[in-house]
Amino acid sequence: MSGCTYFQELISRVLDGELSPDEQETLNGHLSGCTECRALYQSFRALSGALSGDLEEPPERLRYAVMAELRRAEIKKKNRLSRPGKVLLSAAACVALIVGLSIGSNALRARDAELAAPQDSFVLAGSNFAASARSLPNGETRAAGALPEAASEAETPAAAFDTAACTEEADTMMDMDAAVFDLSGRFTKEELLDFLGCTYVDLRELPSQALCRLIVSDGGAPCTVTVYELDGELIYTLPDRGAYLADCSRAELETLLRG
Amino acid sequence: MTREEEAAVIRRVGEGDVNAFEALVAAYEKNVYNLALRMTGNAQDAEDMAQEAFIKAYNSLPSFRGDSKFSVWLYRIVSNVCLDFLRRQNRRPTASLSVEDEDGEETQFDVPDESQSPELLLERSLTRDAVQRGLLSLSGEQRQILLLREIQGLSYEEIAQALDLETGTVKSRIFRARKRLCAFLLRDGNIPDSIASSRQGGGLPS
Repeated sequence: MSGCTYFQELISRVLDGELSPDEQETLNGHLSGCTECRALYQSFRALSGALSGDLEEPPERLRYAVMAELRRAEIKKKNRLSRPGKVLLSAAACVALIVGLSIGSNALRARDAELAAPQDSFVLAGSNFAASARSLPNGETRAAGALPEAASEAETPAAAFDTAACTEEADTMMDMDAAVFDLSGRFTKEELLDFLGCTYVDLRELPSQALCRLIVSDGGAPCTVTVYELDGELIYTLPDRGAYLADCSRAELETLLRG
Repeated sequence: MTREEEAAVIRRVGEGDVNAFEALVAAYEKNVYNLALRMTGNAQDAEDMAQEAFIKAYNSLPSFRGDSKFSVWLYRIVSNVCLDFLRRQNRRPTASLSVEDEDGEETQFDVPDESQSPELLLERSLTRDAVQRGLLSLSGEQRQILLLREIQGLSYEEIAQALDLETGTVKSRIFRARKRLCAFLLRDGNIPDSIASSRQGGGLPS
C-alpha cells in the first residue's frame, strides 16, 4: 500500500491540526474508501490520546528544590569573594589546606565506610555538614541531625575518618562507598577545574569529612582534588591551593562521576 | 498566566527577583515534568531533569528575547536537557524492534505482521506502560519531537522554531515517529484496537 504514503502523512498532520481545507477534503475522500488508512487514522488518534492525556502530577518537592537551588546560587553569586588565578594563599586558606590534607590522608585509609540507611525525606539543601562529629573513633559521637544511622558493623576505628558524607539518601545518590574516584583516564586537572569552577573561599575550617576525592592527571602526575560538602555547597581543595566553592551541584558532580 | 503576566514575571526575574521565578515554575512544572518523564522513562530521572531544566532556564533567561513563546523556549530546554542526559547515560532503548518476527510481513504502515489472534489483541489495551515502552524504543530525537507535539501541544512551526528545523522536517519526523511507535506497539502486543479490528474484518493488503 505504498500508494497510501501520501495519505498516511496527511493522517498524521490532520491530528495535529496542520491540514489545509483542501488537504482535509482530499483525505476525507480517501478515508471513505480505504479501510487500512481508516485503521491507521484510528491508531494514530489512539496514540495521540494515550500520549497527551492523563498527565502526572509532578512531585511537590520539585518546585521547592528548584527555588532552593536558585536562591542558593544567588547567594553564592553575591558572596563571591575573589577569583583565584594564581593568588597567594591566605593564612586562612593555609589552615583549610592543612585540614584538608590531614583529612584526606586519613580518609585514604578508611574508604569502606558505613552504609547509610535510606532516608525518606528529600533534603533540599543537601546539607550534611552536621555529620562532622562522626569523625570520632568508634562512632561514639554523632552530631544531632546528622546523617542516618550507619551500619555499625562497618564502623571500625580504621574507618573513623571515613568520608562519611558520601553516605547519603540511597534513593537519590549513587553508591558512594568508593569515596575515591580515579578520573585520571578521563579528565585532566584543568578540565576538572573548569567543571568545578574556581571561586575562592576564605574558609576557617572545612568539614572534618570529605565527600569524596577525585584523582585527575596533572601533566601526567596524579593530582587529588578533595571535595567537601558544606552547608549544601560543594567545596573543594587542591594540594597546592586553598579552598574553592564548586560551581556545580552535588547532582552534577555525581553525574560527572557516573558518566 | 497570560502572556503579559508571564512577560512581567520574566522582567522581574531579569531585574534580580529570584523569587518571581517561582510563578513560572508553578505554571510549567506539570508539563515540564511530564515531558521529562516521557523522555527519560522514569520518575527519578524526570524529576532531576525537570529541576535541571528549570535552573538552566533561569540562568538562560537573559537570552530569552520573547520572539517566541516562553513555553516553546522552555520546552526546548527541557527536551535538550533530557536528550543530553540520555546521551550521557548512553541509554539505549529498553525495548527494540529487533525481536524476531515469525513471518515478517509488513502492513502498509510498516508494522510487522504478527500471528496473535485479533481477538486476543483486542483485549489488550493501550496502557501507559506500553506507550512508554514504545516511546523508549524511539530515538531520543524522535521522542523529543513527538512529545513536543503531543504533550506540549506545540504547532509544527513552534517545534521548528524550538529545534531549529524546517517545518517540513518536523512534519515528516512526527509522522515517522508515530509510525514507528505504532509498529512497536503492534510488535509488543499492545496495538490499538483499531488495527486489530480492521484486520479482523478485512485482512491485510498484499
